[in-house]
Amino acid sequence: MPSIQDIIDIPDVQECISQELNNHDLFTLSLVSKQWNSTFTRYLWRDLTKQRILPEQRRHIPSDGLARHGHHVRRMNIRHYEELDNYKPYCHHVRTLDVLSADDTSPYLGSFHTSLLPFLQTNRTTLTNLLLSFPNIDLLPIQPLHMPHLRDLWLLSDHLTCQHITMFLDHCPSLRHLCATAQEPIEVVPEAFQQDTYKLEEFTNDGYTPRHWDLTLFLWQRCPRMQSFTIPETSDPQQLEQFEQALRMHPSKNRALDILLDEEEEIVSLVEACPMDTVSKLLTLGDLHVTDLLWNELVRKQMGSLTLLDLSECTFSLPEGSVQTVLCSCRTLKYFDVVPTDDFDAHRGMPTASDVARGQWVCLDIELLRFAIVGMCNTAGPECEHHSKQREEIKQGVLQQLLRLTKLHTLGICHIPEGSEGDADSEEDTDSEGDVDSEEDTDSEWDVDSEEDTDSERDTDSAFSWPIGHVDGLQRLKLLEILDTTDREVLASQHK
Amino acid sequence: MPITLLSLDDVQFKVDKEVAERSILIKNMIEDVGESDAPIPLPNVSSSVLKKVIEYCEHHRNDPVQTQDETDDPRKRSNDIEEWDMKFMMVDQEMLFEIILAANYLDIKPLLDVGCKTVANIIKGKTPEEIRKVFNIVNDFTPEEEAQIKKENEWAEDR
Repeated sequence: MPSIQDIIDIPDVQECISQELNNHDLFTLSLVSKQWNSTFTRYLWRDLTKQRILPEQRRHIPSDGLARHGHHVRRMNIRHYEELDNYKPYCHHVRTLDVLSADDTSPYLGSFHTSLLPFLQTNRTTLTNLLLSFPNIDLLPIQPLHMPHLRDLWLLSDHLTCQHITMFLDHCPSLRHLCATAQEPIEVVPEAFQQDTYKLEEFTNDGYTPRHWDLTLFLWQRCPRMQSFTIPETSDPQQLEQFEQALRMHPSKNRALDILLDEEEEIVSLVEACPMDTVSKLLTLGDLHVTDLLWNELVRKQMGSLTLLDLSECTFSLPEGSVQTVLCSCRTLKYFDVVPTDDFDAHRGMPTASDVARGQWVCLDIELLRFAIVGMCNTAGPECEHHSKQREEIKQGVLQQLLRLTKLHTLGICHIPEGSEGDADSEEDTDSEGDVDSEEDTDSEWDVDSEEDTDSERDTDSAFSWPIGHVDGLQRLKLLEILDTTDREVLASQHK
Repeated sequence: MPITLLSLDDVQFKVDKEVAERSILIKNMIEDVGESDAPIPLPNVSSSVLKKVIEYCEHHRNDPVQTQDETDDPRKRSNDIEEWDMKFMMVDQEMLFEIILAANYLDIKPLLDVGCKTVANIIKGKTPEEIRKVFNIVNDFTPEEEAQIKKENEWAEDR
């Protein structure tokens, strides 16, 4: 019969149990027995940030404790540089150091040199994550600091310059993530979008000083490994022009652009400068009115490589048929969020049920899809057998289309009643479906006028009823659960 | 194609290959030896434990395989135990330890994680004396040693 000790002796088990416990519990374990003490003390000391209290509230760590266990410390946070003086003689294997923001600047400058820099020097070969907060880095001399394994660097300061960042870039060859933020209008937030658990975005919309643009430009040129760039808003055409030039000189694969510009011509200009087929991700377009021009320039040009398209924040009006075009053209798409707003024009880009049923979606790897289908409600009154049969075929077609997306984990479908446009364009829109049968199609789908549609949207009893017979297992249940609902924002469901 | 697993006490279990391959050990064995009708011997796992392990693997047969990054990165780990897993782990202490040992031997990381989380949940919030009692551990500290440990580590106490 195995004992707890047989379990605890397994390193992976020690590790896993320790990760589940807070410092209080680890402290308790160190008091259970000598064997448990020798096992769990190192986990207790490994991460000094596990406590719920702030570092300045932490009880004083006795020097004899540090002398015996300081070599276990891998992660720590401090509020003042002077705190490092206690740790420096004993802690030589720190991997993560967070120097949290301090409000007092003047006494700081001395301790930067006497406390922080020596500590970094001592731990420079083990540090992988570093968060540094500076009161005013402009006042500090640049000192080379070679940290060969540093991967993540966050620099928070009132002022940051290219020179300061250069210091780190030159001496940290393993750097993968750099987040440089300032209290003044933010200059740039490069980040690894692919690992977006730590997506940091701190923007202001008050305009950007030339210095910040210099930094953006500098980082784009200097850091080919940076995977994602936020292009901030600017009112200075010269800055944009410089950045365009940099893009043309340094196009890079696998970089993502997050564009916060207001003027569509500027965006198009920027994206043209960085050829779309080398940009695999186009992030949110912000509060933009997505016109045909933008759509054609930004999205259509990179159909072949687009993996993420998030238009959920837009007050947009997509060009006619654009959602279906993306779904039928973009094989690489994994994330497509295009839930319409209340904008009356929002339906324009959304497909009708017959569009969906007839089209051939190619984005079979898609994992998240949120969009709207126009005309997904039952007719209000009785319908002839012919219409009923056609409607049933369309339903089957839509369902089959959705069932092909086997990697989907989140699906959201809004319902937009057909004819809810309520403006003079509605007839034209219907015609613009484009084929000879359009009128007949419209009739055969949901032969209702806009007033009836409005009723049906409110009436959940008239929900589109989905066939059950030919779909099997869990997927069927999920889809039925999803599609039997007619709320405007319908669902978020997880595939197992 | 079904795979036959042979437990310590010579009981054979036929399972789908995809279920058996939730175990990295078995997956590697199949890859090394090639597919065959011969049973795969698992000399460290008794039939009662193997039955439980197979039940777990059957239930999780379609789960995505964890990448090394997800396993290592504490930010990507979930602290919660799924409801089914929690019920699955409602076993006596001996079976719990046996499952953990089997998960370690068979290299089934998600099962090992669930087992460890269950042990951690037993530990959470208890005093040293309560933990000793639950796991039948003898206190071998002298009062002086205990005082010394408390002095060195009391900073870790949340106030």
